[in-house]
Amino acid sequence: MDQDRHHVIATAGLTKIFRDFWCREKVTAVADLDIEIYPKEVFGLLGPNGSGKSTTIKMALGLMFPTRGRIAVFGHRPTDVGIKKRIGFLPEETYLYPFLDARETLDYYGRLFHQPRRQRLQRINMLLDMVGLSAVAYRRIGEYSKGMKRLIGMAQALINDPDLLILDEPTSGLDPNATRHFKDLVRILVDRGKTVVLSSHMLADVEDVCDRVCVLYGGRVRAMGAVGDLLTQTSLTQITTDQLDQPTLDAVRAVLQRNGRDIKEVAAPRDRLESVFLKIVADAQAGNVKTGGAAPTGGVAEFLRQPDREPLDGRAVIEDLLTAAQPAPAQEAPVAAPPVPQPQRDVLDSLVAPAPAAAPPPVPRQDKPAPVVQADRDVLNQLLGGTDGRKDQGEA
Amino acid sequence: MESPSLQYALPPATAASRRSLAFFIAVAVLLVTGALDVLASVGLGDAAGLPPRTVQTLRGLAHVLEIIAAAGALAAAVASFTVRTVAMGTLRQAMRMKMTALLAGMLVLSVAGVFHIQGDGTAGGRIYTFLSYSTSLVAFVTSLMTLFLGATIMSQDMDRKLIFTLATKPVARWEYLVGRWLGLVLLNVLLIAATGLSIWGLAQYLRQQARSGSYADRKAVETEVFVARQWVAADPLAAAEAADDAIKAMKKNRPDVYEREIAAYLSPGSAEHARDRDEAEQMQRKKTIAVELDRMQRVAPGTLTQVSFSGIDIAASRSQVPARVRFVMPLKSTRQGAEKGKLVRLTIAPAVVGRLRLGAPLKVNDAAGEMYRAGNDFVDVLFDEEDAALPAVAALGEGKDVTLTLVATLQLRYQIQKIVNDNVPEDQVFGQWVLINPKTSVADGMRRPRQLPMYSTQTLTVSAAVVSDEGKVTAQFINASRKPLVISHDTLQMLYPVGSFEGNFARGMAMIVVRAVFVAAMALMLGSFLSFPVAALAGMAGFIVAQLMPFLASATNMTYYSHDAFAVVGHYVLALMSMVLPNLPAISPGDFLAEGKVISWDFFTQVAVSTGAFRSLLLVCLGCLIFRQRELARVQV
Repeated sequence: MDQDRHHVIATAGLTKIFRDFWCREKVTAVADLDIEIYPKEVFGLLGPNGSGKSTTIKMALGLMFPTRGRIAVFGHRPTDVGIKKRIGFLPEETYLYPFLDARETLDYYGRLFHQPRRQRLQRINMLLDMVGLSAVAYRRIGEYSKGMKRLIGMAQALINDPDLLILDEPTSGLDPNATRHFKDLVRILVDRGKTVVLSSHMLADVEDVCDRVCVLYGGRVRAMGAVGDLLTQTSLTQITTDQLDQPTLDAVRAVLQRNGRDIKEVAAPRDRLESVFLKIVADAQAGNVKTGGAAPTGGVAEFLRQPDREPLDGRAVIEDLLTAAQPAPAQEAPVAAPPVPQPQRDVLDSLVAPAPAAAPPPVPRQDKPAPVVQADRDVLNQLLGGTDGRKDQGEA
Repeated sequence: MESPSLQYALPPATAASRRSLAFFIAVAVLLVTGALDVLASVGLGDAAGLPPRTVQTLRGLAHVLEIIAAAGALAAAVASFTVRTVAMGTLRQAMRMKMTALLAGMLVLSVAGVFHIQGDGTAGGRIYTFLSYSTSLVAFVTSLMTLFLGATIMSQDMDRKLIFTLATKPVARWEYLVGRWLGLVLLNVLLIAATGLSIWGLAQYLRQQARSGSYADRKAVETEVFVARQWVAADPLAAAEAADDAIKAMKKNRPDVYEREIAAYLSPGSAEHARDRDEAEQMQRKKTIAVELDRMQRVAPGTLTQVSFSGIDIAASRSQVPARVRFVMPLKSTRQGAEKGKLVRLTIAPAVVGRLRLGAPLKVNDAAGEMYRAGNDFVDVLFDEEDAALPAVAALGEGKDVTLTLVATLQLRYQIQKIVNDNVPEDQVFGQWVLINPKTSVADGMRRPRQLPMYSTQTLTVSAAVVSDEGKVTAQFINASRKPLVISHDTLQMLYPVGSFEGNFARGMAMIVVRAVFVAAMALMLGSFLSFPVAALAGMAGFIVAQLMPFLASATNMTYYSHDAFAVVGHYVLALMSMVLPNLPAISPGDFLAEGKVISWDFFTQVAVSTGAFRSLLLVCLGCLIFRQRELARVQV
């Protein structure tokens, strides 16, 4: 039992079967799911449409009841009202009252957490700043665009500074800029000891933020593990250098051919569209171009950076935190290298011999997704399609 | 693999969980006592063989418990910040919905429209119509609004999945439902208070206008509308006994006629067919009772009929104050309908003025007149044309010191009808009412036969001295016409003022709130598991059934059809239904206010407890149970 308390979410034999009016079993949405989600991790639920991601999340929130098996959140039943204080939830679409404006919405939900007025108002201002809706805070949510609704939905999920953040399709409807901020936010929260569970179709997002992922298909786990492990292609090696002229390439090819290998592809690396887009928008914002939509400041609400739950006072402390903990610029450059398998060391040595200044490529953290340029999405796609015979960890 | 090793931790005891517990304990107490109370009202006590007195005591005890439990539940709910937040959110939501604006507009328009209805042409009639219609309309429109708002809000939360966001916050399901409920109640309180104030203002405006009208109008307005009167119906006519006597006599004297009548019921071709002799005898008895009832309400020309009233709880207070005659003025108005006779202005102490009621009988020395008008320090006493000629009145000279006797007043309401098919000219109906104290033989009333209108309810004001110490009065009607008349027994009432119109009006408005409290609970309960159209329809059905309660009760009355299986089942189904649904017409304040009848604290408390607390919380509780068991997310695979 003690061990259970360490899980943020744990399921045992969790099964959800939908029945029709006559109680005939119709669909098995989730079958015998055993998942353990630990504190301080970003856990991704992946899967094609109808694979049981949302159902699992709804059972964790007590919005649906399991047919069989159990699910515990912070060691309690999901229907336990007490644990809701520690949870933030962003549903797959924004389900907020259209007749309230952004400020009223946040105030309403803040009240439900019995937050004192001062703290509530402070947090509302910070959150509105963070999601960039301060300028439109007095417009009714019914008039918001889908993306803006998403942003206020995110703010609503964070009003209680939750220990567990459950996000259903968090980046759908968000522009790349907001997506970037969202990813930064997730990392900051996790660094502060929070736990994030998200389900997504946006594989790039999952890849960027998740520590561990679980791929569901037909309600069963098809694969589960650290993202890095799942994505590394052990059969290929990628080398990135300054631009090479044809003779050098030929020389390289010769070296490789001596060792019984060949170059499979030669191409100039391309920027990821995401980083190019972000740069363009950043330039526009620097030039003060007006927008009627969300205008994010790029920051993260200060209370979400607080190391603990102390009351928010001392503007100076916040300023310090703000400057100190400014999110590090993300690794947008496409120059990452996958881990290099040892047996080919000699081949590399002979290649780099004439240029001893070249440092060995950094080895990425195992639990952090390695941003691989040409990372073969086929791996994930195959998993999602569930068609190949990859090891079925869920049934183990 | 069916071995979930996962163990749940017990939820910790927090202030919130203690509040929930307190709420549910209070509700449980309320529901148990309330259910017993309702069952007692449909005859559980008799079935259990308890003496009526014990049942009475137990029900009194149950009422006290119910009040305490309802107050406890309300306190526990309001103590929860979450409930308050949801309630205020609901109020804000409702205020921003077009439906509320529409219905509020309807309310304003209907009150304004009713204000322009003239009624029967008299000032009293107009105020009666206005108060009766406007309060009924407010009750109806707010009920309708609450029904639709409740169903809309609940089903929107479900259909648009707004509940996902709310249910993942630390909000217990009961807090959500009770919060919604209190929010709707709050909206109703605001709306009803606002419309109540405008109705009040308009009624006062009409009252002011009536002051410049005729004395009869003023009197009707002041003594029959702007008062709060207790009322007592006439003692029932002993028609059943008379019928039994008649049947006995018939069996003895004319057995052949009796048997022929019974045989008529038993013959298969008859309109009212009886299955056996027993039923035929029942039917024959029923018919005889009707005949006797008819006979007993008839008054032949030149004869008198006597009706008794009992249970009149009036203090026959009587006080004498010194006065001085200021002047005597003969009234000789030529205006149609204006009063004639003699007006005597008496100077009195200002403190006495407040105790005078318009139209109340007053005695100046030995002369009996009525209160016509009062100023800051004077009162005008009216002696009608024939009284004015009496020596006691003639003795009242200017500057004379006299004794003014104030007595409590009593009013008799009656309606004169004619025998069907009988041809009585309207202007030839003459009669005289005399009320007599059965103990002391003190009498008051009409001093001579008068021409009386037919088919309209009339009011006669007399001194309360006619009420005996036991609260009994005997009323005699002398038919001075040439044709037989019918005194409709159902319309006979004794009324006496017991309170102010202001307090009565406030209780009337509070009663509309109680209705809304119930309707809100019903709408939320239905909305907790039905989609909007279904919930709205079911709510409308419930509303209509509650509106038809008195009709249904008489339709399933067991007295006459006791061996009809359908009627027996119907009776118990209705008893069960009456546990959930209130008798809405009985708790409509419209007629109370329009007829100046008191909504006593006793009655109001009973309505508030049985409908506002018991029935409403029963539905809310049912809603909570359904809601707790319900998966808020729908099938989405």
